[in-house]
Amino acid sequence: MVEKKRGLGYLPLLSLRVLLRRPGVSLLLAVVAALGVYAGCGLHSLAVQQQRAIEDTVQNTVIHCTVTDVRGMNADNLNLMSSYVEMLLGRKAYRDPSLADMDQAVANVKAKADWELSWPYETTLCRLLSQASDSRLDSAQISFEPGWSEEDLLWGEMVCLVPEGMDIEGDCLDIVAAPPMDVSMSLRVVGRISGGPDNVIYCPFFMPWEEGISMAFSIPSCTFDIRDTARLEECKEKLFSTPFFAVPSVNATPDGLAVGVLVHDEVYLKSLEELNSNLDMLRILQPLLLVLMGGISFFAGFLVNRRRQREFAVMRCLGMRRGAIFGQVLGEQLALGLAGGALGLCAALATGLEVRSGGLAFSGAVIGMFLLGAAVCAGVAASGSVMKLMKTEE
Amino acid sequence: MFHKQNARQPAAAALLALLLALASAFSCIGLSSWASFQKQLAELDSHYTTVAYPANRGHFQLFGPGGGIVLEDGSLQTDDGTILPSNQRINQIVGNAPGVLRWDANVLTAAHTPNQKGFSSGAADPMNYIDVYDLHRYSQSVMAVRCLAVEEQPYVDGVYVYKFEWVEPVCRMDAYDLPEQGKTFRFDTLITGSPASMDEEGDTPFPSFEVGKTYLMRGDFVDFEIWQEMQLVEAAGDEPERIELGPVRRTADYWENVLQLDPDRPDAPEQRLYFFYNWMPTKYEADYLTSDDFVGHPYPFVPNFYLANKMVTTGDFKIIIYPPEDSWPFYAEYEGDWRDFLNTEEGKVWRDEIIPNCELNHDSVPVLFTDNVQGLSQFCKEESALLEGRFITQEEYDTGAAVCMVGADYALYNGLQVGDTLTLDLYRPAYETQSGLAYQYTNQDSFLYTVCMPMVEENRLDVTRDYTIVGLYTAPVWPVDPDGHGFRGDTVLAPKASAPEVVEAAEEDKVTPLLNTLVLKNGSIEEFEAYMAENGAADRFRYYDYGYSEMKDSIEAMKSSALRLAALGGAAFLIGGLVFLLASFARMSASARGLRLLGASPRKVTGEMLSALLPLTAAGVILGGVLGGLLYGRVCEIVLSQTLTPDWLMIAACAALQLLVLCAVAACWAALTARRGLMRRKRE
Repeated sequence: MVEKKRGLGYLPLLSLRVLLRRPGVSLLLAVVAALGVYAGCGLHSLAVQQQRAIEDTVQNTVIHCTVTDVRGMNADNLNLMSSYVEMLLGRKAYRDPSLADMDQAVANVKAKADWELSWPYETTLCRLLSQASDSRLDSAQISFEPGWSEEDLLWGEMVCLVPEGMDIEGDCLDIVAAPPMDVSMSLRVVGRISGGPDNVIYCPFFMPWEEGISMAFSIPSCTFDIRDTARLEECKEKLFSTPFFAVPSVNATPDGLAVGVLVHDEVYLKSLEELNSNLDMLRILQPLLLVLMGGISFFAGFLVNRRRQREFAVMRCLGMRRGAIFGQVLGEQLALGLAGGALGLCAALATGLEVRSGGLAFSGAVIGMFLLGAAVCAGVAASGSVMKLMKTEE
Repeated sequence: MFHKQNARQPAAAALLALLLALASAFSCIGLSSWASFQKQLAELDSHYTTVAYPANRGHFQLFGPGGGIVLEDGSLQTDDGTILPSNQRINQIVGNAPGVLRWDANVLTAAHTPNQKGFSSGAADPMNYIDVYDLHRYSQSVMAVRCLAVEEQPYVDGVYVYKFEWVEPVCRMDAYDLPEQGKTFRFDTLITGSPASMDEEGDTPFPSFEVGKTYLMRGDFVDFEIWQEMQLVEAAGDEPERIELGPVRRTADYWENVLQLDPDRPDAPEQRLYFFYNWMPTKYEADYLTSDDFVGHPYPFVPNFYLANKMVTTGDFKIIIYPPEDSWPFYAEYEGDWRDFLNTEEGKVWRDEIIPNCELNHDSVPVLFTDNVQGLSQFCKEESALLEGRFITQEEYDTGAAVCMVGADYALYNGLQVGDTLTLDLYRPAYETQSGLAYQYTNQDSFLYTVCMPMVEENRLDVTRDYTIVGLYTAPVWPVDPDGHGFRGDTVLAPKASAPEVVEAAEEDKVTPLLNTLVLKNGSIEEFEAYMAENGAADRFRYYDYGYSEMKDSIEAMKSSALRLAALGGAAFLIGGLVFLLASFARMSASARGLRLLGASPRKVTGEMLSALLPLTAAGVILGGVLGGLLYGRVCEIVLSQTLTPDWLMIAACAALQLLVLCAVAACWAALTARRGLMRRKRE
């Protein structure tokens, strides 16, 4: 009779009244729901954040490589032909197909070669690939003429950068190599260097000795970085797939062709392994903990509502249908679950957790478990014998 | 009563216990994860070493030529009151700086290697020769020479230059026996750094060389310099015509015939000989230089080996350099064949003492006793790297295991491999830091390099130990560290605790620690430098962190995950426990009231309630702990990381704590329930 008069709209109101009548238990159940949502969002968020941090780390980490002889030595005394630098820059594919796209595996090649000059007096000409190639320029400032940039050092223009204080007549600087290479040439000055050595003139690494005639020369050392740390293995594979670069070994026999490359990735790889195992752990813990949380929610819902079996029996005695009782209990729990869920969500947002679909799905599952517990309890209560329920101990 | 209730409703009791078990398992896993994450963080942290290296600059380099007052600790107080701290003061400031974990004060010494050859700079490749690296031990030589000329040095009064002609090298390292030798070499009495050198009578100490006479001489032999020069190489095979910047040994012959330069030019190449000289700072120098300006001190004075010095202040100050009374002779005149001279009474000291000592020095290595190889600057800068084998482990550092790492070049030269034994006959630590010039290669940038002083019997520690080689490292051919933190591949690296006698001797002799590493807490560079800057000592250290800063985000994320997991576990336990207690007491409250109405005392009721509840609680918590441990163990197994095994002891402690908390709360709750007003239920 009650149902007919009040209709279904009465249920939420009734639920609210029931909840308010038992504030302690209601609050506890809401907190269980809140914790479930928070845990769902939190655990998912931890994995996402960790994943993102690892990605950032991988992106930010620079893996340095040092060219050595095949036995891993003489890194500072290689006498390495400049053609190897061209190989690393991906410019020697015509010589060997395995060298194609080498620049996709390698970045920031650093190499320089100092040549003594007899004019200007007591100066050195330094062939340079980039400012970072020479530690003497670490704190130096280079101001390029309009239209010129550091990129031009990678090519073979007959230009130069001179120390700030060097007097130059006109746009060009005449230089003469020291004996026995008594060659002279004129270089266009395209920039000035302040804060660097005052006796070094810098020119592009591949600058020809005479206009139009390129020449190979040797360099004492060469370092570079892996182009993309995320593709470290791929880059290493590319590098070592050529006959020109090899993993150094003390027992290797120099063949005059291959040079060694020491890839300084031990610390990075060890750390990455540690970080990934941590991420794996988080990923495995996530469903496990959520199952536990779901279990807690289920039992909380079940046990708290189990106390109300006598109440449900009275409702049945008063003529309420089983479906209505089930609906009311579910409505109450849903209201609590939603309220608690909203609370948990707010807490998650307030503590900076990532609230995303994955986390919300986990949260929904936890709330679902919570409701399931209540529903099972309500179902049992609603389907049981009224007389038996009335005799139930509290 | 309540036991019966549990027995009559076993499902309800089991469900309650299960609820508690789940909550307990959650929290145990949360705590275990937190502990594992901490382990992982510690492991991760251990991969990185954040280090600071002192910029070992001398007084003049630090303070420049400006005026001011030199304070007691060597700092300079400028005219405007600013204090420019000396190295000594820097050490004091560092003592209070934040983030400092420890000073790794390393000890460098030399050791005789009875079964191995010394690895001088030109041993493997003569074109790698640089005199600075060879001084005192490898360059120690005895030579038979004939005096060609005695000339007064044109620029410094009382200093003579002697030209000698080779007769024969009597004892010289094999590495110097190259096909192109000089015909003459030069010896002069000028000691760089001193204003003049003469004996107590005001005469130069070695004016007794006479033209035409033959002598045996001992000292540091300095060979022709190696220069990097351009040469045009004709095309051959696949290689095009090219210019090679290659090493050239600038012999007198090369100078005259290839470079076609005047052999009488002052910078014409010459082989030279220097007498061993004790470089301990004089009183005059000490006024201007603090002891810390020297990276390393030489030996305490060895009477029979070095030239000594003292300062006289009569008139213009003079530094007197003289052979001490009981010194081994620095030279001896002989006639005929030097071999015959060695068999005479006068030649006995050369035959039995000087030459054997010279040979002993040739077969030697520098040994750096350290607590952290990876903290050495050269490894941090990736100029050195492990090539084969492994690094020395922390356990080996702690226990002082007789293990070592050697340079791959040295190993190859001597046919050594990982696992082989290297016998070291140790000497008292003594070294000297030289400034060197790597000629064309480094564009004439100067660098500091530390060489061990000659080994003599007086400094032998009488400690011979076999070290097992655990790793081979690669090292620069020409270490050119501006602060003197570089070392060549002939250096043996061994745990400091493996040679306490050396460390003790270093302390006794007050030898300045060398190649020091200030180990900082990872991620504390900025804080440390800011503190140093606040104390007027900015830019006095160089920092390396092995890329820790790039890992920082991940490490922070891990730290945050660890904390959140632990917090979640705690929260789950609290909520689960609360639901458990609430449901349990809700079950028991009506019966408790009944008992009270029947006249049972509150204490009895409390006791009854607890006696039924506590076993249930204990069962739930124990079940939770076991479940948590097993599940976590399974997770660890899946992750396959050895460092991530469940810590059962910690889980047990966690479970015990949970039980304690629940018992305490249950006791209070039971007491309150038992004491509740009997009429209250009606009001409800």
